[in-house]
Formats: sequence, structure tokens, C-alpha cells
Amino acid sequence: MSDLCLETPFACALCGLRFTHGGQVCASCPITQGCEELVRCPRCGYQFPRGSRTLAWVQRLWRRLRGAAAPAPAAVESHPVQTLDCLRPGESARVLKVSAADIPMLMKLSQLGLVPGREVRMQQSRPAAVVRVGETTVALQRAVARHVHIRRIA
Amino acid sequence: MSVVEVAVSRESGVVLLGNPNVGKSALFGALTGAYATVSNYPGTTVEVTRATLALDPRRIPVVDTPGAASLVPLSEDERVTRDILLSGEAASVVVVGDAKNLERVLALGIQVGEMGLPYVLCVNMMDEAAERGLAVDVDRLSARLGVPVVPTVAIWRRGLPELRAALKSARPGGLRVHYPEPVERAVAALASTLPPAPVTPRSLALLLLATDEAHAEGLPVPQPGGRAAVDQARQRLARELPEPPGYAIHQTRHALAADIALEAGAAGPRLRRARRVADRLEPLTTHPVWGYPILAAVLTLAYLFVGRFGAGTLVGLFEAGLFGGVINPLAVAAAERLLPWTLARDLLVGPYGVITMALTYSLALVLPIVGTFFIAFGALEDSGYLPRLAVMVDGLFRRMGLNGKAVLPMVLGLGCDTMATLTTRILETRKERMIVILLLALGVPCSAQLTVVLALLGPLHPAAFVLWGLVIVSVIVLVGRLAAAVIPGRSSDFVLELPPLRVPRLGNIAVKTLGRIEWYLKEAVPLFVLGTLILFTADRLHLLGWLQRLGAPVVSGLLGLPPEAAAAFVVGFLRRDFGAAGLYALARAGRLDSVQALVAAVTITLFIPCIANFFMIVKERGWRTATAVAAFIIPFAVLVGAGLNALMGAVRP
Repeated sequence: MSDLCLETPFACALCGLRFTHGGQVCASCPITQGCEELVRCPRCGYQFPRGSRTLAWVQRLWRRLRGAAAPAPAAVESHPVQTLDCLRPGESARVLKVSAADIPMLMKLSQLGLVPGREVRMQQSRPAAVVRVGETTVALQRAVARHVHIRRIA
Repeated sequence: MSVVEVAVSRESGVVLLGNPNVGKSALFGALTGAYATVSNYPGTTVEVTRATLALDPRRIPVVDTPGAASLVPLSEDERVTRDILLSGEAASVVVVGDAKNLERVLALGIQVGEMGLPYVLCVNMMDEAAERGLAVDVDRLSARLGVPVVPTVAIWRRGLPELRAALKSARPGGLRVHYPEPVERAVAALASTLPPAPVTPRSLALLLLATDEAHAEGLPVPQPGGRAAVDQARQRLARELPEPPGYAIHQTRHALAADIALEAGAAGPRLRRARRVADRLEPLTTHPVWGYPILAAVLTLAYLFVGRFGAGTLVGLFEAGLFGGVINPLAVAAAERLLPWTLARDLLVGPYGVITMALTYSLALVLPIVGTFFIAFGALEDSGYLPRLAVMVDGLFRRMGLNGKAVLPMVLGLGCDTMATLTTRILETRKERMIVILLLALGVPCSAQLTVVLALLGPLHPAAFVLWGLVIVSVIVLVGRLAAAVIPGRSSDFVLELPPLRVPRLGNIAVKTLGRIEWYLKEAVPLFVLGTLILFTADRLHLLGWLQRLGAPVVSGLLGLPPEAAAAFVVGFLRRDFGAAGLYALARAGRLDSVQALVAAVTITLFIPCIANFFMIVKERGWRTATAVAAFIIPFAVLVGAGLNALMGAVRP
């Protein structure tokens, strides 16, 4: 699973809506493996491939080498409420809401301290996300981090 | 089993309760001393440890419960812990927690208080909290909870006399949690219909409302109304609350716990924070770049210690020195003088003799290797590195339908596949457990076997060892991917708490290693003797020759090994290391060239799990699965071996 937040927001090829994520195709589908490359526009429901990750990485690198500011993350940051997987290593945020689908996962995240009001710091986002909550270090998959809604702390 | 039955069957005593990994077992050991008994909780395979504690004027029983994050169970372990508390066995409870994570233990303590059970709060790991500049205001905690609070450092036995003294003034505390209004109404309604129990009706009603159906068995049922009344109340509550009832109850309790923790200073402003090396090292161990060299360094160190020192130096000392030079010649001489019968002499010191084969294999060849492995593994366990490994391999394991957590049973499998099969329970879904059980039986070599394989390949070019590793790892990944596609069900998400890195304590490693060596001696040596007796009998009845001729098309034809190797594969089913040791003996006798040694090592590694592992699979997953696993593994192992043989045949030196 790649870091959606660091990439250019998707622009729907049909209706033109710009969106970052939340538009993934059905996570519960049995063929999710191959499906991961597909995104779906939250407005019109149009599905399209997300585009080459490698190319996006080369583009970002090229922009950085040329010293130009990457426009994409700035656009994302302007949105105040995000999910935990959007944090970059070293950044901190406050948890607003946890919205996991199943109760055991909710309880587990809560027992680990991921509850509304707590401050979290992203230690790393790869190979799996590792966050610090107080004195607790929690490793989690990006798909799980996406259930935790946060507000960035400067 | 109903709650009341258990209540009359046991004398009441102290119950030790705590979150996982807070040093609860260390505290248990320090409080009770030796002579603990470990037994399965009735109807489960969860182990519960019991001992007694000297408390004037008599000794009272103490129970160490499985670690629990909450008394609303999410796992079988937590359910056992809850059932012990509900059983009436607890005259008083010691709630143990980590001083660095007060909120979590407070949530547990609040629940015990709600049950009306007298308890003492033991805030353990005070040294680690102080190191991190966290202060804990014990008096304030005690005032808020209404129970005695004792700070301890269990591993250094600090605070234990105070804890013993405090046990006498354990109380329920009387702290009342105010749940959202709809919850309070439902609790009041439900509580009035519950039968009398050793804990308060209010706490039982809360448990009934919060507990998932999967773990509802063991809870009392309202009279009249039964389970249906509970379901009805839950559904009504679900409509009235914005979140699921269980989560709402949990959140309210945790919010209060967080509040008290903040007040007691654990989450408050920092004191001076000591500079710890671990603070620098911890992020590096899971770092996307530096994590891998660190992993490689850890593996290399472990290999040098076990593969070189254990399998080389120590085995040399034991096998050639002690057994080859002293014990075996003495035994042969003694047998020749004292035993006039050839049969008896051969039974003890012949080529398939109990002393010359069973004891030499198990004590001289395998024991030094297993011993050093246990030491290395114990150190790794105590260091807190293993969960970090899970982070590093999460991506790879995801492709095998697993998540990073599955690396824990797999690494444990390097110690013993049978024990590891048991620990697959930490995995959340049936599919994940199935895949890991299959991979353990197929590809993960246990310590004994791993080291005989090391010994087998050791004299060869290092490339042989690398090739062996490559083949085994690719087989694991390949079969894992196939299994993920074939086995129905879903995989779970990866969430894992990473404990702090610690310097392992020598005393602790020594105790663990000795325990494991004792287990090895008790379990493995009799099987080695049994296997030797079978071989001895087969040899006498000339069955061995028949077996070798029978196996020749496969063993010699496909695998290109000498026919004697057939016997090694047969006894390999008793213990895989026994089989590997048989091959090792062949290699020592100069019967295997380097290609043959490599093919033999790969095949025996993949070959059928030992009999103990097989029965563990039967126990965990039933006969059908176990037979299916075996039916897949035997031909598959031979197939891979044959493929490798054909491939290597082209480059045979």
C-alpha cells in the first residue's frame, strides 16, 4: 500500500473532482490484491487506475532536485482534518476520532492509547507505520492508520 | 462449567492480574519463590500458574492469570482471566501495571473495583518510568482509587515487603464510573435480574452488555429472560448510543483512567529525562534503511554463537572429546566385560545402540547446539527486538496472506516447531493460523534440526549454506503465497505494541535456558532412545535392508543419496533432528559428497514434521488438517529435493 497522502491528489478523469483518498475500491472485495491500483471518485463513482507510483516518485525527486516546492503536499495540508497515515515521520498530531469498522480493532487501538484527545508522533511510515503515543510505541499497517482521524500540530 | 462449581472447588486466595508485558510473572516469581504448578485452565489450553505465598499466619494460594488488557475479553487468554475473577477464587486481587502506562492498568483496576473485589494496585517498572522522567504520585492515586497503591521494581525485588503488607488492607475502593445515561439505565435493569454471584451485579451487567457473543459463554444469564434479554438490551442500547455499547463503556472507563493517570502525574510535565542509548537505537531497529543492516547483524551474531561456537566448538568437545574419547570406549569396554550376550551388548553399544547412538546423538550432537540456541533466543526475547522484526517483515508477510505479527511464531519455530504451533493462537484469523502452521511444519527448521543441518553443511563451502537458506526461504514464500490464495478466510490487520529495548538480564536468561534444556531432555531423549530401539529392531529383523531397497527408487533415484539415508528419513518422523543427525553421521563417514549433503539437508528440513508437531497440529486443527498437511509435505519435500538434485547434478564437482 503506498502513501497516498504524499502523492498528487487524484483528479477524476470523468467529473474533474480532486480528491486524495477515501475513494478506494471496496476494501472487503476478495480480489483486493489486484484492485489496489484502482481508485474511485467519491463524487461520480468513476473508477480509474491510480497511475505509476515509480513515475510519481521520479517526478517528486526531479522537482526536489530542481529546488521547486512540491505543490501536492501543500494542497493536502490545507485540509485540516486528515488521517494518521498522512503524517510524515517526525510530525505530531492530535487524535480527533477513531472510526475502525470492527469493535475489536476499536478497543485495541483505544487500549494502545489511540483515543480522541491524545497526541501522537509519527516515527516512521515505512515499512509499517510506527507511532509514539505517550510512552507507548505502536506499529500499525497504513490501512489501520487510515481509521484514525487527526489534526496536525505545528 | 458454571461459575458456582468453580467457586466451591478451590480455596480462595490472591489473584495476580495485569496487562501483558508488565513484569507480572517476575512479580509472581518474586512473591512466591519456587514450586509453582502450571496447568491448563479447564476446557482451554490457556496455562495458569499457581503457587503459594507466605502471609502471616499461613500460606495462601496465589494464581498468576494470563496477561489481559481488559476484562471484556477479546481473546481466549483474557476470557480465562475474566473467568478466574468471576469464579470467586479471588479473596483479593493484585492489579499489576507498568508505571510508564498508568492509564492502562487503572482501567483494569477500575474494573476490578466495579466487581467489588478487594484489590491492591501494584505500579511496577518504577525504574523505567524514573529513567524517562515520569513521576507517579502514589498517595494521590491511592486517594482517588480508595485502595492501597504500591510502587515496585519486580525484577530487582524492590517494594515486595510493602506489597505483602498492603495485601492485608486490600479493598474494593468504591470508585464509581458514571457511564452515559442509557448505559446506566440498561445496567440497572439487567442487574436486578441476575442470579447471586461472587462479584457485584452491576459489574456483571456491564460485562454482559460489553462482551462480544464469541466470549459470552461463562457469564451468568439473567433470570427470567435468558440470553435473549441480554441481546434485547444490547440492541436497544446500540440504537440509543452513537457508538457500539461495548466501545462506549470501554471509552468511559478509559477516559476516567486517563484522567486519574494525568492527575497522578504520569502524563504530566516531564522531570529530567535520562539520556538512554535505547532512545537512539529504538527508531533505528525499525528504520526503513538501517533496520536491515541491524537485522543482518543480529542474525550474524546469533549464527556465530549457535552455528560456530555451539555446533562447532562445543559439539567437538562433547562428541569427539567426551563421548568419542571417554564415554563410548568405556561403555564398550564395560559391555564387553559385563555382558556376555551379543544382543544385549549391541543394544547398548552397537551401531544402533542406546549409548552409542541415542545418547551420543541427543547429548553430544544436539544438546550443545540446542543449549546455545536457547541462550541466544532467550537474550533476543528479553531484549524486545522480536516485535520490531515484525515491522520489518510486514510487507513480505502481507504477500503470504499474513501480517508482520506472524513472524513471532515463525521465529519461535526456530526454537521448536511444536511450541510454535501452539503460539499461532496469537494470530487473529483461522486462515493466518492455518498458513503459519503449514509453514512451520514445512519449512521452519527447529533449533535441533537447524544446527545438525549447520553441522552437515559446515565443512562445505559457505555457498552451500547460502544455497540451503535460499531454497528454504523461497519455498516458504512460494508455499505461503499459494496457501494464501487457496485457504479461504481473511487476513487481519497489523497492529502491534513495540516494547522498549532493554539489556537482557543474565539471571533471567539462565533461568529460562535451564528450564528449556530440562524440557528438551525430558521430551527429546526418550524419543531418541525409542527411535534407536526401532532402528535396532528393524536392523535385527533385516527390515532395514528391505526398507532401503523399498526407498531406493526415491532416495537413490530421485534424490541421489546413498540407500542408507532412507532410515534417516523414517526416524526423522520421530524427531526431525534425529533424522538430520542420521544424515550427519553418514556425512561424517564420508558417504555424502557436497551436492548430496546439500540435497539431504534441504529435503530433511522440508520433510515431515516430528511426531510431537504432528500431534500438536491434530490438537489445534484436527485430524483432517493434520493429515492434509502431512500428505502435502512428504511428496513436496521429495519433489524439491529431487529438483535440487537434478539442478545441482549439472554442476556436480
